[in-house]
Amino acid sequence: MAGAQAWQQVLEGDSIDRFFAHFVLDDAQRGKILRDYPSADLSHLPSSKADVLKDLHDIWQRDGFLTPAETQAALIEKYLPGADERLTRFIRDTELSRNKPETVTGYLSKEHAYLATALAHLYAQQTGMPMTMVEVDFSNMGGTNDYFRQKLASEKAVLPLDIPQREAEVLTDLAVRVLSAGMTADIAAMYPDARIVPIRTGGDELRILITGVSEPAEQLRLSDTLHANIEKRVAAMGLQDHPHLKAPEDPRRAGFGAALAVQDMHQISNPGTLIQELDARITEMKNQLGMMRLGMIDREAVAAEAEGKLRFGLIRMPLGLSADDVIDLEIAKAQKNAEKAAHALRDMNPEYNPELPQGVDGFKNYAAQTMAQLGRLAMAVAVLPQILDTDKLGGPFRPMGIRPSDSLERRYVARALEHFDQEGIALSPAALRFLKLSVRGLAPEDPSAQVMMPVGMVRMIDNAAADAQDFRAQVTVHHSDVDAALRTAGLKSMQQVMPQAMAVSVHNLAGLNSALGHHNADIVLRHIAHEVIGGAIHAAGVPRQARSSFAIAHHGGGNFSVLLPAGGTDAQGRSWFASQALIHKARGEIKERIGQLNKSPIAKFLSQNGGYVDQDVYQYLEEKNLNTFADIRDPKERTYVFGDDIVKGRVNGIHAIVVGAAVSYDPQMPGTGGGVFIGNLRTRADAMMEQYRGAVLHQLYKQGALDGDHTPVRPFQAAFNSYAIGNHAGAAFILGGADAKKYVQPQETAAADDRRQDKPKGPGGRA
Amino acid sequence: MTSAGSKQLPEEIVEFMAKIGPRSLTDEEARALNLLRLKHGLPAASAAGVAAILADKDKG
Repeated sequence: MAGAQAWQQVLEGDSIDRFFAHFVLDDAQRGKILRDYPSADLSHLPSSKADVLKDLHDIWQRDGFLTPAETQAALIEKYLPGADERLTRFIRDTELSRNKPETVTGYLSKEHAYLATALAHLYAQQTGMPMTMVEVDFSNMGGTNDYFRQKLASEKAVLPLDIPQREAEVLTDLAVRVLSAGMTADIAAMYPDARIVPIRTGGDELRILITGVSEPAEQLRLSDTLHANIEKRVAAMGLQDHPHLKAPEDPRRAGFGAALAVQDMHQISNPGTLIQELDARITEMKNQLGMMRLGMIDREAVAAEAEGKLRFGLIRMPLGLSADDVIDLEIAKAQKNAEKAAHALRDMNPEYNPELPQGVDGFKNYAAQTMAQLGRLAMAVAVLPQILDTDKLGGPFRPMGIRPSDSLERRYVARALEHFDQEGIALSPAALRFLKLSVRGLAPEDPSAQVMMPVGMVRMIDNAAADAQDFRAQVTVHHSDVDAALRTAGLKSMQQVMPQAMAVSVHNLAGLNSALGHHNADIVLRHIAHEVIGGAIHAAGVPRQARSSFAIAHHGGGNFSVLLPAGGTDAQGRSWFASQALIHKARGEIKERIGQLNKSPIAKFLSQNGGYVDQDVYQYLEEKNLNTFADIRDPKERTYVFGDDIVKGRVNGIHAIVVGAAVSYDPQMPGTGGGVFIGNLRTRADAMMEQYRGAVLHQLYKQGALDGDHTPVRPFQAAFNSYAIGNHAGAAFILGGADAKKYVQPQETAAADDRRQDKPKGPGGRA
Repeated sequence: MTSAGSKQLPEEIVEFMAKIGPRSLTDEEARALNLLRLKHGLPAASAAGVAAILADKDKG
């Protein structure tokens, strides 16, 4: 097998390619190790990805399907025969600690999503054993937050605005947890021998992989049972009727809920479009469930189902009746059942049934009781080795040999190596390789953007804040190299050298997903992360070097954050320092690169970057006039009010807002820390993006350039703004508008500006 | 004719998806795809079975 092309017929196949590559030791690598360690035994290590596949097949035969962390642990164990038991236990515990459930749903977190999916599809293809994927999408989480906020306000006799958003979100999360735990418990009850691997793949999306459910009739039974239980639990939580955030007038979309599609993994004809197909089935299911809650049926769907069942003998045709008669009977039966179902659901719903416990307390009690009854899905989770169980890897806790600019992965690896050194456990070349592979997983990657997960960024910001003083102390002041680097950074002294962070909000990821499908949208997302943002930072003066010099994280959708350490050296040993001037340059580069992306032909871009492009895709792009990324349509029509002007429209194309800030806070102070810091920065970027969208449409409106369906007739070039956060994370002030020339704010004026300008301004300085 | 138990998807559905390309389906297309799957006896969106389970509960 050579390259990602080999896995094109596997869902998320490129993650298999990357996963297998970690284990392969090619001839050049073998030669290098043998030069350094002539007696090393490398005979048991795989030479190709085909070797890894064969070994994986053996593991599946022995253990059945495994989670990604268990799979990696099993392969490493196989490749380290006879290793010190303390080492193998350390690696196994490190791996299995990654099975730790995500806090809201209790499922595996997103970092495992693509690899778990790819492994499941490969398992189905290689073993021929049953494997089913259940794709789940929650409904109306935003509207449910609003509902809880109003409910809490009404019970406390205050205005909804007086209820912190988080207080409402916690209740929505609880409802999500009840449904999530309910689904896995239902599946476990139906298929006690099946392996169930549930994953939270997104904010409102889940995926459950099951080793079983091979026949269509079984799949239908599973789908019906899960949906029926979801409906019962939603009713019992009193969450059937509040308006949908995006469609408040449509009663079929009211309330909270979840719909799902059951997919046999042996029946995937096109991995490139499967997720779109499942999303479509879920959309349709949500419509039908919404109707059922109202006691209505979709007659056409019932007729089609009856026709299918008749065709394949799943229902019998009584003597003397025609097919049409049977279909009419099925419709009548379905209508009767829908009415009964609506009635039954209302009986379970405290909003309709006064005998049931009422209010937010009633909801909480129901949730607690249900969770206690459901129990937990058995998942092999290990406790992380104590030496690694820390976020503190900077300042006084920085491991030996680690520089202030070093990555999170490198810090964890150094900490592990310190441990083995102290324990006196010698590591063979293979042991070292796999120990590093395992420990690096503690800085998990977002599989869609292939950059760090937010949790890693939070740790890195704390470490960078803790390391800044050490970094400044290590630099030789008044050395000519240092002076030159300070001048380049626009700084007057070493005291001004600080780590810098950016939040980048990219508009229209939803449009990309909608127009190109999730696989191709991921290709663009990775380009934005690595080439637009990462490339811009290098172009702004941060050198490319072997040891990581900055970190990028993906926070979902089009939201990214970036951390630049206070500084470092390039390959020639020359110093560089992070500064607002550097951020400003990076911002300009991002603007340039987003502009280039908008001008890029979509088909050419995708084919050059490993996207899914065949003749049908070319034809589709042509038919829809999707030539360049500037043509990507904003799926949402937006409304803004500017004085007497009511402006409606869509902001097509890709746009970005960059917000920058010096990382400057005392990690010991309450209410500070990487999480608060990056949260504030992201909130600013989101607010700026919203103002930017309004400004784009207002300008087009004033120019008379909004066409009939309120769509800009040409893409608007991105404008950029920047904020800096002062000496504490809670305060922000503006450094410059869209065309501001003056961007470097002396530190001493920050506090004064902080007090003067506590409200953000929009592009061009608009309030 | 492709049977409900076959691991091969019916040609009609494969063609339907190929025509759409890589993008997300519109609501109308989602509906059309679902009706196609139902007519071929494949697992698809249907609330009829869900309602039957809930109605049965109502009886008890």
